[in-house]
Amino acid sequence: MQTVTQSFRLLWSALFLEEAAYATMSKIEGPVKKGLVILIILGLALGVAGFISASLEWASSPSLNAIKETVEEINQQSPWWQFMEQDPEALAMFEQIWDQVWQIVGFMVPSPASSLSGLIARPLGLIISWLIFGLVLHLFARWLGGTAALGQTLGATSLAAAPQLLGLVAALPFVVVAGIGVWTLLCRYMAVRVTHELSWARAVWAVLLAFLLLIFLGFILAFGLGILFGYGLAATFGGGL
Amino acid sequence: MNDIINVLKGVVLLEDKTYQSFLTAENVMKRGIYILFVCFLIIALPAAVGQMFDNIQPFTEERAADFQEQFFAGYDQMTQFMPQDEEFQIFIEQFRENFEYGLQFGVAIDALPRPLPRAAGVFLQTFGGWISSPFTHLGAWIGYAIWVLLFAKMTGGLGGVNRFLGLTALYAVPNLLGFLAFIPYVGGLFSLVGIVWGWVVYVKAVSVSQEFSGGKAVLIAILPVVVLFIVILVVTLIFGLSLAAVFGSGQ
Repeated sequence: MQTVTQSFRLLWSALFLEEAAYATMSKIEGPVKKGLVILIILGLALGVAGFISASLEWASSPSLNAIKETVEEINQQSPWWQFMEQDPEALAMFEQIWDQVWQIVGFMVPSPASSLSGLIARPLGLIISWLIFGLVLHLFARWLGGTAALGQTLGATSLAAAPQLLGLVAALPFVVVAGIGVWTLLCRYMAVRVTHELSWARAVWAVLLAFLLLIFLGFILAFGLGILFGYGLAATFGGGL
Repeated sequence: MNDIINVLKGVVLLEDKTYQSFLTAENVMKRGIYILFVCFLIIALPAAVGQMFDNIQPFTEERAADFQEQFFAGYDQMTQFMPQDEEFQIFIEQFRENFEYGLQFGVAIDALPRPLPRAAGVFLQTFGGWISSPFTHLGAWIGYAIWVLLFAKMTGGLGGVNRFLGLTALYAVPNLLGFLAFIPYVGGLFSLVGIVWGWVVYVKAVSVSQEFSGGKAVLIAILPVVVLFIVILVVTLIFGLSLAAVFGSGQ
């Protein structure tokens, strides 16, 4: 319990960019382990908040099946439906696409069952982004004259997830939280500045370069996956169509 | 309570003493963000209450008909200046038909049962929207603030990040006038005064936190807008020239 309280206290201070919080994390014994624990606790809390929110949203809305049936009922009374019925092939194709659209909508609409995955996905997501960004940020910080060890950088940057605390408000249904991304960059700036004792300009460059490099790599990855997907589609349907 | 009112009064009246004491206080960023949140929650309250009363009533066929009538009254006024040819008439007819279908869907879906009582759902939805309101402003404020801070630092600003953010968050205080936006005819003017006054407070906050003169603070506070404008202008020009070159050579 003490670990949980201490973690939230550190995150709360880090959220308001208090240097002491970042300095504590960079000087603490075993900063990587401590950072990992903080992110797991935060991720679990966010997962629980997501579950509560999704459950309440689900309970406040009609079921998706009922909506689908209602829409179908009204559609079937319309003149264009009667027009479609004259061409059974077109109608069958329409119904196939219609069902697929509703399947996609079903994945996107929050439900208590699907939101349970957040209990695993949220901590994992935080840990992955922490490790990747922390590593790249460390490289740029050292390149720009920083002196801290990798463990110290990772310890301090784990606190850069502090703006995710705002996401806990989203335990209330229908709440949309904005501004987390920019705030996270500010926290990362503070983490690298304090840990590596860099000037403000070098700290800004370290964060900016890490951010831009990751965006660039993400773009390349998405492009590569897009090409692979295209090839896959071509291979599947190329001969058939 | 008196202290809070005095601070808010000092902020709005741009009193140096208030800004200086706010800047040197502990937890300046925390205090600034609390103020921003509370202000925007208060501002959004009348709209949230109105929305709650509006949505608590079921969306019946009568309400749908009223809504349609109101919508098309405005729509007809708007479209009377458009060319009234046959193509346009067909488009209008189709639009009306689709609009009616949309309303039918709305009425039927609103009548469907839910696990929670309908009123509870409406309350949760309105409450969620109300709580989200300060976050929208927070996102815009922090997104703009990092650019102002960057320009301030590049031109010799002396303030730290959290002190700058704490102080500039005070721009929310004059925006409290937006609470009166629900008053017919003049409500919008109150909001406008609040927004402009908020900008003045923002400039003062930049000036105090970065130890800038008033003129320099104005320049730094609007610089991100100016840069954005120039970037859009240059991109549009390049795009326009490229188009002209492509089509020019084509002819």
